[in-house]
Amino acid sequence: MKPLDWLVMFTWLTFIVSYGIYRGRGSTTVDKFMLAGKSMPWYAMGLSIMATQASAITFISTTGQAYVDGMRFVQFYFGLPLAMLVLSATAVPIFHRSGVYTAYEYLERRFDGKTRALVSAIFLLQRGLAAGLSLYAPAVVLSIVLGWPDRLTAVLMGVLVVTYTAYGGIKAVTWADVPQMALIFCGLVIALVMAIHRLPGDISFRDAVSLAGAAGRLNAVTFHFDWNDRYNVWSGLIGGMFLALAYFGCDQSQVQRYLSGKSIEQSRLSLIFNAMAKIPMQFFILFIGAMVFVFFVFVKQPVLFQPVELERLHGDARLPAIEQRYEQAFAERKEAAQQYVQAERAGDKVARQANVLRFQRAERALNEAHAAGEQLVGKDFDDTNYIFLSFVTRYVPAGLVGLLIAVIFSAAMSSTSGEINSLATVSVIDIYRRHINRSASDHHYLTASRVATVFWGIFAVGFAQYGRNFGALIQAVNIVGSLFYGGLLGVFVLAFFFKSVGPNGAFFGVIAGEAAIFAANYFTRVSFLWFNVIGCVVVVGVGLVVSRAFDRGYSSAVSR
Amino acid sequence: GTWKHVYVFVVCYLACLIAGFYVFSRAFAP
Repeated sequence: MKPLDWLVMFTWLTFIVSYGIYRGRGSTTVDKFMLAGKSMPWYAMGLSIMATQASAITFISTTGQAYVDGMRFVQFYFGLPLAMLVLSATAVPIFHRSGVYTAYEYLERRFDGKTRALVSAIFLLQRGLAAGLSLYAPAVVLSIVLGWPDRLTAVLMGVLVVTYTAYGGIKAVTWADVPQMALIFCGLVIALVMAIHRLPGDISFRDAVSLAGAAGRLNAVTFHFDWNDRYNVWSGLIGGMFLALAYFGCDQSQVQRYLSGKSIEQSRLSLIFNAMAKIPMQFFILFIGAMVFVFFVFVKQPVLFQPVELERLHGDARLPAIEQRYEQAFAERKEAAQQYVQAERAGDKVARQANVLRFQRAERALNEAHAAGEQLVGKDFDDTNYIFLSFVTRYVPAGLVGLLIAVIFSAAMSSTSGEINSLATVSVIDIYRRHINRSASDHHYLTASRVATVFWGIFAVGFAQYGRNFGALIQAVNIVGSLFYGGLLGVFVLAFFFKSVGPNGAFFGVIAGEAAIFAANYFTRVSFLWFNVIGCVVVVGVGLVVSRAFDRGYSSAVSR
Repeated sequence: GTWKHVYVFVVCYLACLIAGFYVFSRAFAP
């Protein structure tokens, strides 16, 4: 990072905090702090929904994934537009008409207090850990690539987020997300332009795309169905739809975005905007990863992208042999790529195919050498998350590096701010006001909301401080969403669509659904995308059976 | 005009995206 980069980055961060505080002024009641007084337009909510979902790891990891595995990951999002339509037609009008602050408050009206308490507790556990990870993951990657102290990075991000979130509530969070998403879009375009611009002079954009395709990096769609394959059209459309239904329909960090809309129409439009924009954005991010792959076909990178571990390995006697294999494979792959491009231009199909096979052979050898380098570090070591930032810090000119690091900061801050804002809302509305202090003044609950925001901010920073000591926990947080969302989705499906189901059916349905998901996780090899489908179906089935036995004559306080 | 029309439009948009990505994948397949 050059002085110009630091200037760009800190100017941006100062602007975001100032803008968030400015737009959050006037949040002087609980209604304004938590729901912006129901005043938000569709475009602000839509961008905030996207910003909350897109964390820093989305950009760091997704580009790396395309580098390693191609663009198959885009299929993960195919079910999202369908989920947006279902929620637009059901959850938006139901939540809005019931006048609730949280999705879980609705469950008490529909079922009972114990169902609300159970689901709120699941949310606080899951989202609290995820908020910590939102700060921890980018802090670690930035610290390794840029040499910053990771704890200081996490504290800086946490303090900035808490400053405007505790002051201005959801209004500050949502309006701060708008310029942050705009910067993220600009940053993506700049990253793609730089990846293409830095290619060797004799390699055109058309050559680069053709080469990425020949290397199998543009394999965006496969219709072949396989239960154990994480990414195909069917797992994306069905499993991805259920995951998106659960995340956008049952997770308060997203529900709160569209509950703040000035009308049902505006809230629906925000979800329709997300349905239209999300897949192209993910495709674009993956395409950047594919172009970075082509760049590194012609520009040699070290055996490992993770500089700290590579430095540590330099004393290892096994490394030179691995590096020699790696360099031979790199030279062979580069030559095959150059000859492939020439054959493609000449229209020589035989030479083209021969060089594709030669390229693939060299790449296998290169990947084996890379894997051997990773094995020297540790059995589970994977440096995929360092690929994109290695490209940015080493091959992007001064000024733009600061801008792209600001993009990573913005992505981390926009997702963390939405998370701690929703955690504070659930803590106050579903826990404190429901179980501890039920008759205090509006000002008291507003103060409690600000205190809860600071508490969850400190919790997230604390998790980031000690995250490196929880190796296995980090992995657990990554899958914890898929373990709990099926149960959450099932109980809301019961609430919305099965009027005969009562509180016992809902409560025991959730427990049975969670048991089924944990069994699927530990005893089968079914991909995690299907957990939400399994959980939801079990909750509905058990809920219907239990209700027939124990909820006879039940009449809900609310109906659709 | 109506929300139903908006929903149909989004489904058609999704179908076009998937078809476009499929053609893109096949065009550049190794």
